[in-house]
Amino acid sequence: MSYSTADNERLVRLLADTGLGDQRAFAQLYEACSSHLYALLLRMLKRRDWADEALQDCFLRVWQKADTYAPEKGTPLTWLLTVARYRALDLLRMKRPEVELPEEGEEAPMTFADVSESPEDRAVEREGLGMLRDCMKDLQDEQKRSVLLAYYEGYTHQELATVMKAPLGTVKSWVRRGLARLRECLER
Amino acid sequence: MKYENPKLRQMLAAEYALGTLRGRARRRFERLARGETAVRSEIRFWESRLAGFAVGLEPQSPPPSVWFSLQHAIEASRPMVTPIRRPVAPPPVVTKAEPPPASAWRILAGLATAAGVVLAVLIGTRVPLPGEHGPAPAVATAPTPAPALALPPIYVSLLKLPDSDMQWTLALRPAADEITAVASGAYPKLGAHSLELWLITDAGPVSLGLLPTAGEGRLKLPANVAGAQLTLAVSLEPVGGSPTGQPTGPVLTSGPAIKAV
Repeated sequence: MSYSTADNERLVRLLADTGLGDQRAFAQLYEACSSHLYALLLRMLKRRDWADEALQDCFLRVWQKADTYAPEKGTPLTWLLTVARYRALDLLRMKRPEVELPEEGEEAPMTFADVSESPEDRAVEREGLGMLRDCMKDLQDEQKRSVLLAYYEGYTHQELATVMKAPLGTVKSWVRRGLARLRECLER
Repeated sequence: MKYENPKLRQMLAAEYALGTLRGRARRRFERLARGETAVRSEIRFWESRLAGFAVGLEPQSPPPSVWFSLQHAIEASRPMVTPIRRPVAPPPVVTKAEPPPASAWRILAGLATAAGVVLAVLIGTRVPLPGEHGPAPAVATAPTPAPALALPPIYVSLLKLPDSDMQWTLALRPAADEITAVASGAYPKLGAHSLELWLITDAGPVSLGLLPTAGEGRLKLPANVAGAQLTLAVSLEPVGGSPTGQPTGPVLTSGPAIKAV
């Protein structure tokens, strides 16, 4: 994480105060974290109006549920990012079918070109990813791509199969083997 | 599905966090996780590790409208009283401690006094306190009203509309409750709408009225303002302004108003 321990402690405090209904703490939490959540939401949803909506939903949820945060759920930032990502996945499930994947599935969606530039160049090469970045190196190319596409694009197995032009069974095993290998490495 | 198999549970937790576990299988696994600590901690393991992919992204600032809407939603659920009207003129002579005013106003007033003192120190000017008369002018002319000598604060701001040459030069005079807005540039065709100016306060956006799209206009300044800098924003609203008293349309531009005097 690019956040220092001091930043993290501050966020824990802000989250605790937000849980008690402190609007000022909530505003500071928003100030500190919203740009990270918004970056992820834009990356996943591709549309500003959807990202705006999702960000608002997330923070409203955080305002209502901040008291359910516990340190074992990760650092405040990773917890907030998780809330945001699940929200984005829900939105994609509701909204993407009609706009993103064509009926016939003949052509790869536009997002494919974008991701095939290799999202790992943009994300994994940055500092702060530490172990995750190192462990991703252990994965075979197809495993790595399927995990990253699932993470950043929110693709289902079926969507991955369409985008990666591979049979469904093959794609499923790429994802599973990739995750299994990642877990072995992350545990070390 | 046989959830007793630990390898399988690990895999399902990973696919749950990644999002590739969908539909009924996802809901079934969610139910399982509710009852089993080990499953929950496996999910959390993945959630916090995978979040590393998001931390690597370049941060992106969300538009101010998201924060406006959030504040609006929060205040709707939890009313907060913050007086924004200026109080009636301060008493001419303060002899005894006044009954404490509403706390929000006290804070604002405190800030205003502090800002005045800081400003006085910075520019070496004595700022008269409320009820005090300014120093007599060295050259006797016609009696000048105290506010002119006291240099009441003026905030200035330049707000530009992105993707156009449209801009507004604004002067806010809290002492006169007045804002002068001078529009310049070509107003882009945004349909039948009004442009509403907002002051962003701790208690949320406060409407300052509608901006002119050409020439000069005068707006009321209904709020107490203090500090070295204010934040203004312009939103696109239905003709005549927001029907709710809160921004309802997209925020087109925002920026600071700097204390100039």
